[in-house]
Amino acid sequence: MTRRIFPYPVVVGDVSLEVAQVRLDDIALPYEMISTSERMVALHRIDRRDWRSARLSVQVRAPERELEGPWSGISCMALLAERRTNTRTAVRLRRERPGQWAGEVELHRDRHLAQAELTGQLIADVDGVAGRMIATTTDSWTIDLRARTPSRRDEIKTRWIDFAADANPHLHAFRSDPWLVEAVGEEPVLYLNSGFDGLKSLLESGRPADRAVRDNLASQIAMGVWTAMFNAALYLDEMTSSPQWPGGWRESVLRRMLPDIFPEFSPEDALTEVLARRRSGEGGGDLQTRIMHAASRRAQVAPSLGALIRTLSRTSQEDE
Amino acid sequence: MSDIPEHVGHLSDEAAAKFLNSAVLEDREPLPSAAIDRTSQLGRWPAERVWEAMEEAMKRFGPESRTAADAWLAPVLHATLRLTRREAADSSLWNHLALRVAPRYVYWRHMGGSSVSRARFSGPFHTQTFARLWWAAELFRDGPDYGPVVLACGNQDVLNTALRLEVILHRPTAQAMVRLLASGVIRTGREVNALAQAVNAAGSTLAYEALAPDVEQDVDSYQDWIGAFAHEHIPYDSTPEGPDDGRVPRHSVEALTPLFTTLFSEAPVRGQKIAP
Repeated sequence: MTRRIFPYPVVVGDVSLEVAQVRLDDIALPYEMISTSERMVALHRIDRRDWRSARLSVQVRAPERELEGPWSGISCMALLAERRTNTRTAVRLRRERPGQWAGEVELHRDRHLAQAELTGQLIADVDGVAGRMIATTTDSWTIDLRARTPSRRDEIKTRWIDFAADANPHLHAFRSDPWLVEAVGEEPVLYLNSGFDGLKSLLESGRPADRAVRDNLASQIAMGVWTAMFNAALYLDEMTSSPQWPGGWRESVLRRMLPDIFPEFSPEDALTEVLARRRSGEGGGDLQTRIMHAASRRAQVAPSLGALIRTLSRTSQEDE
Repeated sequence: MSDIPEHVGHLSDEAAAKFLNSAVLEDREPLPSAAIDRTSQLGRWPAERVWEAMEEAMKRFGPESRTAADAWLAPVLHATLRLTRREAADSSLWNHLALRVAPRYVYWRHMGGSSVSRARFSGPFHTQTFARLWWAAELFRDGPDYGPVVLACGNQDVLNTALRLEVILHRPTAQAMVRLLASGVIRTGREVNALAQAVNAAGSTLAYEALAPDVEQDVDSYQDWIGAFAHEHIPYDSTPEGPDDGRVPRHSVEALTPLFTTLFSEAPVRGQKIAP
């Protein structure tokens, strides 16, 4: 609900949502599959591949004194939604006591694929209008159907392969490049050319003397990755009358970079602006400069660079 | 056509992107079925009946009325390719259908100028040739009744605009919008757009889910319907029957219809004043 302007009074203060328990086909899920700090439920369990439904016990809390306002008939709903499966389930929660609601939300596996988002909403009559949203939960929960351990970190998938090898005919045209990004499909992949002399030993070097060079190279690669992902996300634009977030990793790339590209705009306005420029053919010049600026900022942000290097070193361990 | 694979399978977005070069998109070169087969994974859905439905659509509708084929094919495709939403969310299935099973249909339906847009073969659910029809049928059906789907898909702007709005994932909202279309309150594409945008905008402060509660769809009945496919004949001359997983509550649709009528009457319709 950030940055939305409401033509009526809304609840000030945090409304929080908690998943207290999860039952998978009526068997309670081990507690470590629920992470309250990360607001995450990990439903993917190796020993129970054929589960059909998960019942989430949900509780919503709002500061009681904040609920005294020009509202009447306050009710509370939990919403479970996944854009990829076009599924959105709303459940009305029962009031346990003032400022607290609880209920159960059922997640059917047939109707979800990867990650569902769980949020709460307070609804009331305001100025004679029924069904007004007067608050949404500050943070949402993620129900992950794929992750084994609950974690929200998103890193870029990285693969070492020899671009010149017979098995990779589609990469032959790029055989002399150190790396390339494939920004199509479900998740972007960074390919590192193991046939490029010295690249692997440098990126995996633990020698203090190599560190600066290694970090610099990793940072350059990261910048290229961000740029490629941003452009790929932008070019998926479907030319609708009102700009739409593309969802998935494309949306997350746009949301992370747009604040650096158009710092003076809200995310929605920045999306409108960037799509307008791309559509009007003004995608060159100024926009590209701004993209480079944003990509270099992202690439130098310590955690992102650190994560990339971690990814690189971990991938190399897995591949060897 | 002996070249139809036995099953609809999976072809990844990455692999599909490599096959969709400009010569293919311009229909100057055929899609290499042998190479596609080597990179595809097998699926469980029989391909021939799906292919047959596409052929029938091309036969029934001439090239000049190809957009009208959408309203006919959407329910037939949904009833012939029985998927869970989980399965339908997998783009590799739609890629395989478009690149390997029925590419002729993609060219026939979406050739514009000298080429077909890449996203008609492999793209977002609201744009890919078959995914958009399947999802339109799934999101606009009223339980087993595909009637609202036929109405919705009869208007290209419903498919192009409304289909991608999150508000229509609430079934009573989708049904109330179709009702305005059925009753003639909205007619033109521009009016559909105006209504969709107005409903979507008002939905940021109005909780349609609270105003017009839906019932939970019965996932077991849906599974039964998937399982029954092998024994069923899908009619072409009448609208087939969909899964009996629960109708949208009438009172909820009726609660939203007057509200949407008001929203629409207050919404600006592009070009309305200068329209002939």
